[in-house]
Formats: sequence, structure tokens, C-alpha cells
Amino acid sequence: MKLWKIGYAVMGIVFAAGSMITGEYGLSEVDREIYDTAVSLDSDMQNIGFEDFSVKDYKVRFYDGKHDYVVVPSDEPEAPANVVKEQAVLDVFAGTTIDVDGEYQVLLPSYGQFSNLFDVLGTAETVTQGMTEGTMAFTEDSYSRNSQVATIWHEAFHAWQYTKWQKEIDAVTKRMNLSAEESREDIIVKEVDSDQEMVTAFEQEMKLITEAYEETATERKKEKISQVLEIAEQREKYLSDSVNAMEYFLEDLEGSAMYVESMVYRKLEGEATWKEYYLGEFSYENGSGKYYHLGMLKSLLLDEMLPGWQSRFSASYGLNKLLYECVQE
Amino acid sequence: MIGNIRKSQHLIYWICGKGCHICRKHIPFLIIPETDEGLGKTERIIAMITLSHLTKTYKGKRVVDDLSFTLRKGTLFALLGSNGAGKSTTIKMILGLVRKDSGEMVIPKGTTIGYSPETPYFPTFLTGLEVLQYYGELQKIPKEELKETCGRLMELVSLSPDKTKIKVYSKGMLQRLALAQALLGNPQVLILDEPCAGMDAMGRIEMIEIIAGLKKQGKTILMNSHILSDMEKVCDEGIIMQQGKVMRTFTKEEIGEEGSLEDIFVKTIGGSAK
Amino acid sequence: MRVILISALRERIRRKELYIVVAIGIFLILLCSSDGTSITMNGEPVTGFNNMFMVMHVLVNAIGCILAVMLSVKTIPNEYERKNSHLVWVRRISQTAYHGGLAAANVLASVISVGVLYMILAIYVMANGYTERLFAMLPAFCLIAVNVSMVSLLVSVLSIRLPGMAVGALGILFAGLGIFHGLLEIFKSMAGGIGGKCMSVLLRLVPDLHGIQKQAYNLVIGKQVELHLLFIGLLAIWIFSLGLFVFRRKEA
Repeated sequence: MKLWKIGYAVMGIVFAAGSMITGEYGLSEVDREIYDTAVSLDSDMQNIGFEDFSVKDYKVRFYDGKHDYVVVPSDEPEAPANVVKEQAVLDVFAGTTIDVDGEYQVLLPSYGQFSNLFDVLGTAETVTQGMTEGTMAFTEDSYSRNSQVATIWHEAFHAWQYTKWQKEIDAVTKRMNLSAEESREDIIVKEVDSDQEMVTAFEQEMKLITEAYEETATERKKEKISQVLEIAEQREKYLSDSVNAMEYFLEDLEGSAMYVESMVYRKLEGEATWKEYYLGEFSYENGSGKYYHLGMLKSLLLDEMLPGWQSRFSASYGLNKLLYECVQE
Repeated sequence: MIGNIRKSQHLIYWICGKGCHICRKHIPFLIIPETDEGLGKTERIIAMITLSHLTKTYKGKRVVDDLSFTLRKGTLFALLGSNGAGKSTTIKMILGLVRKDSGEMVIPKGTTIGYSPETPYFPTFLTGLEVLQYYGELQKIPKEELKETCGRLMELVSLSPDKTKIKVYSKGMLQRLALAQALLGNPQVLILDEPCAGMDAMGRIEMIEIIAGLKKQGKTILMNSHILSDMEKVCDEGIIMQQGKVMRTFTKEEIGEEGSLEDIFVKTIGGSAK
Repeated sequence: MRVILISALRERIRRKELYIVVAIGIFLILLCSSDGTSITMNGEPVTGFNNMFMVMHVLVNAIGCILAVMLSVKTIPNEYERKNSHLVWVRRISQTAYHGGLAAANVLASVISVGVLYMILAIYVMANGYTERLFAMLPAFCLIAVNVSMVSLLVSVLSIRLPGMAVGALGILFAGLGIFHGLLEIFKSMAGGIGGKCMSVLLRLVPDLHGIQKQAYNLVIGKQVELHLLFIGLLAIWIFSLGLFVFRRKEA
């Protein structure tokens, strides 16, 4: 009898020990690799043209549901980054840029959590679109490690924007006039998505920008860009100042960040997969998502029409102004 | 000295009428003085189960109230009473199926008990023989011995060891099988809860004969039944319970003197109802 | 204990519960055998082998866990309702041995049930010409069995003291939290506040059944397997088995 009790106790000890030994503590191996991959693209991304923009300038916080694991880049080029465990600054799921003691840092959930979220939210939406519109292709896994690398760059770009153009962005934010009761999404849905005229105009803008990007002849490209800018101007006059500010914020600041993100993704996944993921079906949807996409397309168009636009882009001199230069040449 | 206790102590306990609980705990038999001269001629009586002031309460209701009796070796003790008297609860407390609230229960170490429930449940997909084998294996009866024992017990209770499944057994057959499984391991004490319930007249007669035979073999039996005529044939002594209390004790001799067990029962229960 | 286990298992087989499980398995196969879709995933149609295998693997795990609850919830309470326990208790068999035997029968029945479903999955694999994966499916099945054993054992242990409805509800809750562990981790983070904290506590108490299933899937397709989740599962089984020593009935 005693023998089996000893055996039973030993079994429990073995399982407990096994759990502890095989458990991951601190930053997971996967997240470490994701960070290292992001940093390895630094020199390639410098070539894009945004002055002094480097992901190594910003700390990256990985949130695992309990704590933040902060990756602090080393001052020495070859030395690995340090990882520091800290209290979670935002104890909720979020991929964002956050001001921590006066310093902008990138915050995102650990890879495991992010990929699960995309399974829930991202995949369901795209499957629905696919089933109504025809064939829809997914890339490997619904959300991959490379997507996470691209997200780091996206948020780091925001950190760069805020650091470089704090005052201008604050001015735009002030113009947005957000209240505690209504979020940005609420206002977009109320002021833009509920107005059929605005919806039609925006859809036209989307269609024209897509055609402009796909067009090979320069003159025809310019024609379509002109039409886009005309519609944008008319919409600006129609909408209130706060909505204009909101659209500007989303299209220019978020759109350019999505452009940076897509460039990273193209580097990692290749042209074909990048096209599938970023240049797939572009249809009208309520909310802020469409502005991101429009801003990204405008940035890609500027790559073709105005090389070096990145060095002149700012919070006060946005994508539409740069597109004006294209059509005036 | 009797065991570790002085003879004088025994005498004191017996004189004050409380019975020697010390003896019953340490020595598996009682010595009762037959004459006033003290420990002269003695009659050795072995107590298989002794209950003292047993009490059980369910949801504020006393179902067994200050119950005391002794089950003597080789006797058939009748537990009688109307429905809800506390008979089944008493049996369950003895078997450890239900916890007593207070009182003492003395069962000498090593006493083996067999139990036949009132409504036996056996797995319906098994045959009678397989049921006995199952319970025999539970009791760790060696395999070689088990097969022979099961066959013998099936024969004793007049059941055929064929492939008939339990699901087609009649109530009477189930009761017989219940008795058979109670006899596995040749227990010293048998506790039978309504062994003749649901049986026809012939069945009851056969069952009582079997039980009488078991008593002759030296088994100690505690039996509970509503069929007083059957009990009268086999019991040596017993108690009549009402609302958890012992209303009356009786012996075989008293049954003869007072007419019948039924008369004693009606007098006791009828009298208390008034 | 062995005698009680064998008897309880025989009862299951006679009750023909296995046929219901096989019927569920056949239904699964039919469900996943549809043709013709324009949706592609990872370069092949959604109803292509790799995608369907992944889906069926998840389903087998989920159905197995639910079956484990259903097969385990009434076994011990039924023994006491029918008063079968009387004839066991009087034979001085300890409650631990008695409940242990019945719980072991529940676990074994649950594992056999999920084994039947997994075998149907194996037939699907063979029918699609991926016989090289069959070898890996055996150890993968062991991982699925850990999940199912965990659920069955927990339900069995709880059923010693708690009423049937409560046990069933808790069993389904446990299985649900385990199967959707990953998703709920996200919602916990998104929710925040008291809701988030409660969810956090619940998710800490419930092992990641989906994660263990995923390791089984990884084993079959040749990807790296994380042992941590397996150890957690085994530890959980060990902890639940302690309940057999701790939980006792006062009366038969």
C-alpha cells in the first residue's frame, strides 16, 4: 500500500517539476525572434526615406496578459537588447504607441495573444468578404510572425510621428474635439457613414485611387489623381472641421503608418503575398479602416509619382498636398 | 481477573443493572451470574452486536431514539415496527451506511456481516451467477473457491445458474439472489431487511426455511419483516419499535404465553396509538 | 477497484453508448466531406485535406471533451441512487477505491469514445492518401486523451458530492473554458476591469485544452511540440485525482 502512495506522490512531483521546467518565463522565444527580425530590417527601412526613422530608437513593450516585457535596444550596434519586466501600463489588449514617462514606446500583445485575436476578428471578416465577392486567398496562418514584425514598425512609425510632430498632431487632435461620450469610430459612423452623399463620394475616391495606382500611363494616372483631389476638396467643404481633422488624422498619419507596415511585410513575405494581403479587395466599410487603406494607397501612388516624398511629408503637409504636386508638374 | 478487569467490577455493573459495557468492549462474551452466590454456574452468551442509546435525527425529526439491544450469537433477532418506525435506519447504522448521531455500537473486531437489502439493485445485464461472482471478487474470495461457492449458493436459494439476465428476474428471484450474495464469504452475522418482501406464499415459506436452516448452522441473524407469522416461526427474541423508540422487547417464550406475535404487536402498537 | 472498473465499463458497453459515438463520428466525416468551394486557405481550398484535417482535429477534441462530461456526470450519483453502494460499503471497500474504480471507468470510457472518433479521423487521413501521418497520430491521440481524461476525472470527482445538474454545468463550463482558452485570453485582456479579473482567475484555474489539442495537431503535421502544456495537463489530472481521497460521502 505504502509503495503506491509513494509512487503517486512522486508522480505529482514529476508533473509539477516538468511544468516548471518547461514553462516560459520572461519574454518568450517567439517574441524575442520577432523583435530581432524587426531590428534586422532597420537598414532596409532607412532606404524608404523617412528621415531619422529607426525602430531601434523606441522601446517595445510585449504584454503577455500580466506584465509588460520591455525590450530596450542596446547603445552598441552588435549588442543584444535588454529585456526588463515591468508592470503593465495598459492592462488590456492593445497594439498601440504609448507615452511612458515622456517617452513614446511601442506596446503590443505577445505573439500568442495577437494571433488568437486575428483568428477571431480578422479572419471572420475576410472570410465573409471572400464568400460574397468570389475567391479569397489567405496568407500562411491568419496572422503570422511577420505580421507582428510589421506591426512593430507601424507603431514605431507612430512613435516617430509623435516625437517629431508633437505640436502639429496635438493641434489636429484638438480640432477633432473628441468627448468622453463619443469615440472616433462613433463620430465617423454618425457623420460620414450615415450620410449617403459622403459614402458615395468616398466610394468614388476609393475607386479612382485604386484605378490610379493600377494605371500604367502617367497622364491617365494624373487625371485620376486630379479627380480624387477634387472629390476630397468637395468633401472637406461639406464636412465639419472636427470630422475633417479626424479624416486627416486617419488618412495621413495612420495611412502612412500602414504604408510603412506594408513595406516591411513586402520585404518579409515577398511581392505576391504582399499584394494579396494589402492590395486585395478595397470596398467601403463603416468605421476608420477605409482611411488607413486609402492613405496607404496614396502613399504607394506617391512612390511612383513623387520619389522622395517621404522627406517632405509631415503632420502639416499631408498626402493630398503631395499629390497636388504630382498633378501640377 | 477476567481479562484485565477485576471480578468485583463486573458484579457491580450487573447489580446496578446497566450491564457491563467494559466487558463487552474488551472481551467478546458476557458472563452472567446464574445465582446470587456470584460467579458459580455461568452461561456463556456471546454478543455479536451491541447497541446502546443509539440516536439518529433527520431534518429535525428523531427517527431512532435511544435505541439499545444486544444481538446474541446463534439467535435470530426480530426488528419489528410499523412503517417509519426506524428499523431500516437502525440496520443502516449497524452497517455503517448511515452515521449515528449519538450512542454506542460495539461489534467485536473480525466479525463478518452479510447484508440483504430490501430492494436490491443488481446490474441488469448480468446473470445471477455473474452477480455473485462480482460481489465475491469484491470480497477477494479466491477464484478457485468462488466458482464453487457461487454455484452452491445459487442452489441453496433455488436459483438456476443459467444465462438468465437480472432484467428478467422477478421480485422473488431478486430477493433470493440478495440472500445468496449476503452469504458470500460465510459471514457470522446476517442482516436481512425484508427478505420476503414481494414474494408469493410458496416463496416465503421456502425463504423462511432457508433462514431457519442458516440459524441452525449457527449464524446470527438480525431480521426485519412486516410478515409477523413468518417471524414468529423463526425468531428467538426481538423488539417492537414505534417512531424510533423501543416500545417492547419480547422473547420466544413470551410469544407462546401471550398468544401470538401478532397479538403482542397489536397490543404494543395499538396501545401506544391510544 | 479493478473489479468495479471492469463492471462499470461492461455496463457502458451493454448500454450501447459506443454506437452513439460512432454515429457522431460518421456525421463528422459527412460534414467535412463537402466539395466545391471558392474559398482558399494557405493555397488550397478550405475543404482541402490539410484545412479539413485541422478543423476535424479541433472538433474531435471539443466533442471528446463534451462526451467526457456526458459519460461521467451520472455514474457515481446513479450508484448511490440505486443503492448499489450499500452492497459495496458493507464489504468494507473504501470510498476511495469505490469512487476511484468508477472514475477510472468514466475516464476509460471517455478515452475509448474519443479513440473511436480519432480512428475515424485516421480513416479520413488514409482515404486521402496521407498514410505517413498515421504513425504520428498514435502519440497525438495520447495528448487528446489527456484532455478528455482531465474533463472526465474532474466531473467524476465533483459528482461525489455535488448534485447532477451542478456537476454537468461545471463540467461544460470547464470544458468550454479549456476549449476556448486562447480566445478567452484575448477577451480577458480586452475586457479589463472586474470582468477581466474574473476571467483571468478562471483561465488560470482551467488548463488550456485547445493548446494541448494544438500540440497533438503539431505532432501529426511534424511541427515542434511544446511540452509545457502537456505537463500542465498531467499535473491537472493528478490534482483532480486527489479529490478521490478528499471528497467523501457521509452516508451511502
